[in-house]
Amino acid sequence: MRKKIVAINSDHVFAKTGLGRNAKELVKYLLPLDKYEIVYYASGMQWGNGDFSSLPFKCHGALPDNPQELQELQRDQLKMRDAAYGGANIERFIREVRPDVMIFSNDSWAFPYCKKPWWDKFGCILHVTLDSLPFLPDQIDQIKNSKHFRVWSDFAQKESEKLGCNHVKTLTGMINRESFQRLNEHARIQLRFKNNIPIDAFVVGFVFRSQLRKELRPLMEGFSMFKRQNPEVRNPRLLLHTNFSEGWDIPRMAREFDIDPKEILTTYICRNCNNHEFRPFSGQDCDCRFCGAQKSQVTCNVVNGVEEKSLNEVYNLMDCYCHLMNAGGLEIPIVEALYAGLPVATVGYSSGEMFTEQPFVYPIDFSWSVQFGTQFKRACPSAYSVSKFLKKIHAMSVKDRIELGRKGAEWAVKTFSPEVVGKQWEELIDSIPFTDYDFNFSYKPKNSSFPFPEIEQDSDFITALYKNILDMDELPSGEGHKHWAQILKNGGKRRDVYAYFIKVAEDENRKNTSVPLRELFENNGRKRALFVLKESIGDHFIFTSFCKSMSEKYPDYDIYIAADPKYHEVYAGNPHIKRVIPYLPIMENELNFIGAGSNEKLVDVYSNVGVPTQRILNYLSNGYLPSPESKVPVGIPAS
Amino acid sequence: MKLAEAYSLSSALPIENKPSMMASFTPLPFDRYITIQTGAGFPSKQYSYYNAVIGLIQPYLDTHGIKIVHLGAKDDEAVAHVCDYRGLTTIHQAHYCVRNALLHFGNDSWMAHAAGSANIPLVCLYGSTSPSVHGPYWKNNDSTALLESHRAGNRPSFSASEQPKTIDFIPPEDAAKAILKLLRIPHQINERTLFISPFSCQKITEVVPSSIPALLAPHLPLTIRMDLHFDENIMAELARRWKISIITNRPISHALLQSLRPQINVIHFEINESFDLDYVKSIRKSGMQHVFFSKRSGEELRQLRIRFFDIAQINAFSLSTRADFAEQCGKYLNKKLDISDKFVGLKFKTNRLIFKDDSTYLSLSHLQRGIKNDNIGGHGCIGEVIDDDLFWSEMGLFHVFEQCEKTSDAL
Repeated sequence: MRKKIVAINSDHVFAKTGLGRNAKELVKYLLPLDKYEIVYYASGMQWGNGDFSSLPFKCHGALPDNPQELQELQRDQLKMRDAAYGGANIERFIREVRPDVMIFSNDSWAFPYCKKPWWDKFGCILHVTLDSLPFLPDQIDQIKNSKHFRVWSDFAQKESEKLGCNHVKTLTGMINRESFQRLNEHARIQLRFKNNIPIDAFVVGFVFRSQLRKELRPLMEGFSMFKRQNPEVRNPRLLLHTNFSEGWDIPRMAREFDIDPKEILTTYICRNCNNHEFRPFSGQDCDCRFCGAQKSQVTCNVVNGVEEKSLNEVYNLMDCYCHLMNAGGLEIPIVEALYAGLPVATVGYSSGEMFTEQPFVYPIDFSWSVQFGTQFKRACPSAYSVSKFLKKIHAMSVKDRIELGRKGAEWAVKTFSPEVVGKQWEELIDSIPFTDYDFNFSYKPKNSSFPFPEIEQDSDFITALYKNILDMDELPSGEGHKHWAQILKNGGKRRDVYAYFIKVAEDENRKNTSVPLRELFENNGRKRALFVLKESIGDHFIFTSFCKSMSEKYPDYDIYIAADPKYHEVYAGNPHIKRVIPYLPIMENELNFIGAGSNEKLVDVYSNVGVPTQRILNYLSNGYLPSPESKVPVGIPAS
Repeated sequence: MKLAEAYSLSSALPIENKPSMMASFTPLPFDRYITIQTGAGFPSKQYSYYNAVIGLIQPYLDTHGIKIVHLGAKDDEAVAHVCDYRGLTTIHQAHYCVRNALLHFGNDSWMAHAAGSANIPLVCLYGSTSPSVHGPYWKNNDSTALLESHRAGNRPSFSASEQPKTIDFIPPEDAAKAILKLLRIPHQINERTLFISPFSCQKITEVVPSSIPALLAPHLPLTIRMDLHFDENIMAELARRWKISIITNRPISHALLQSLRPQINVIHFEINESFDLDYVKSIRKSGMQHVFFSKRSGEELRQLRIRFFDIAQINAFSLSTRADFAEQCGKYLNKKLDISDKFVGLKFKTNRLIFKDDSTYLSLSHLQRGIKNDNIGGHGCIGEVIDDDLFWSEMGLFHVFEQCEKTSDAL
């Protein structure tokens, strides 16, 4: 019996992102089971990246290998983003891999696929980080149009249920627990001693990317408040494991809340020897005391990060962990802090909700705000609540803290550990049958050239438009049919309705017809000449005067003209032209066609004739123009 | 260089042949016709005064049994009194029509190239583009008139939109004369445009509600001039039979307006002291289309706006003056005019008619002086210019011209 083919689309397994780490754990769980053939589709990597060959499973990248195609994508940031998520090669991947199950794990906007013809024809599992309310219309569409919809936290599941979507289930991120545990008290003291942190210090920690979603300000304000209200606290410290050059201006915030810079600790890592230490922030590019390298120490970041074992040291320096955010898909550091047996506080919104529902996690009070633009609700944590949490933990005996941490660790292991979540994935994958889909999801073009039908009854006229142009069987009782019938009844013109249907067909065809370039040309062994002229009708009319010359100059060639579809009819019946093909932006670049480097040669002669008239104007003054002083002849035939 | 030369250069192909596009047989119910095309790729290439040109040539064409076939896209600007084939032909059918026409008249668009390459007499208008670059490469010089705007001495902008459109500096009579000349039709066109407003071609029917005029055609949208005579009963009676817009400088009963609401397109309120805040507020909340305006300026307007601040936005309606006419006329003719000149013997055309009782008037000034209009033409009515402030205040509705003694291009 063949193995079930399981494809996974997410950040690359080696990416040091939450998605990448989750995907790595998932693959690590599934591979040894030996009942699946794993094929990976890595976001942000090129299709044939050389590093993939060393992986124990097949892997392709989401981005095209062809540098010209990449260049085209880079011209448009949005297109590039979609391509990096997977949009550019997804259909190629699916056609080649023919998965039984495919897991799409990322933010919801990474997968605008739910209306694709192949969606849910095999086991498509959306595993997305819905973290903000209200859900966007596209997200609701995704939920409603996906059989297997999984979210990273139960917050999103509950919200989906409120929308009547009970098929949405929670599958949390898989978070490695091997490296994270509470060290014994002796080891913890040694760790402080090694890093010149007073043994009796009260250390509050936060591990985060210094970005908008993270609420550092209330933490610092709450810490400052806690110090003021409890002057007896000896050696309070704030350990911020983050990059001080990114996002929030931490030193400035410290000044604002009257926090001594020496009280703010951070993790420094040496770019040269990779050794790390914890000490107060003293700027970037410091000299390393371990290897002596100059200006090599920086606060940790996504490029220079500590290993997971060292990250466990970070947590073990802390007495409690306070993770403040205004929303988030799943905050992995909270789970790591729980694994490390720390008393934890966070905000009960978004993924934070599943933590604050637990009796051992302290809920930080918050108010609401709304994000400009998206209108997403955002939590604003209370500094006063932070200070209360700190006071509570400080007043707690070490024994009680350990007991609280133990409960949290137990729950975290049961909820997030790879063996638990991996089992849930395994059950889900096994519940999905082998696919018998033929993976033939080529788009059936709409008939945008259907002639205007002369039909007596309005109802029959509308049905004919639906059937013959859009290939739809719309009954007279259907909403669309009723809509058009009403318009015609109210005096709307049939010609206008017809024109609308034709436009929809043309738009649909344009949107869905992404034929490989080679398929635009007839494969008959003859040489090809391609003339590119995007628009417009006058230019094409003039250009017809060259068609005969083309066939005389290139008698052994098939002549192709690339033009916007609405101008194709200019060449109808022209005996010199083999075919008029739709203009595509990629056609602006000759190198995509003439077989430059390892590119496939598609044509033998290429000419982008519109360059001087439509792209970079270079013809207007290179000939006669009247000078500003001259009197323009009016009414006199031009010579 | 011309487009054809540019394409020859970039494609490395010689210009040895004429354009060749299919022309599909299209039966027209007449043989003798000219074609016009009011559309073009960009707004700046579209002439605004086709109606004025057609108004001049149509009597002559009618005499010779020549029809005017309007080709192009269905959204192209409409022209009155032509055979309207906009949006009804394929490109190949339109091509056939052009190739079999007696003449083609239009903007810088593909049909001009098609007519030129088929040696069809051609009158083509250029403003933002230049005939030297964008004019037809293939044409019969003897039967081609490429009319170019003076552009106030500027070079072509080659821009998709212009304000004002330089193509509109071409006088309609120049185009009309060129058409008739190429058709070899003698004419008596002797007018010389001094100023033309796009609104001069727009049909507007205003009624002074002192009585219900007997001559009003049904289904005609009316503008009721309550500012000239305030009578709510007659206004209501008119509204029951016609769709109306209203211009008023006094408050009209809110209940009456509500009762007539389905028949009212828009109400223009000339705001003054007779309007109180509550009335203006109620109009704003009524959901009826409305405009608040004032003819005042400076401090007076400022005070008015302060009074209605937070309630209504009062648009300034500046009345044009004799000096404005002189300035616009200078721009149109591309020469400086002396404002001290008496504008005597000038005529004007308008499509706005004021109905009062059983008479029609061409301007407020004519109405004030009791000078009745005695002709209603298909392409607007002609009257004598009255050189007074009231007349010039409405110049935005007029096409002003002088009549020369000789018809220079008459055969």
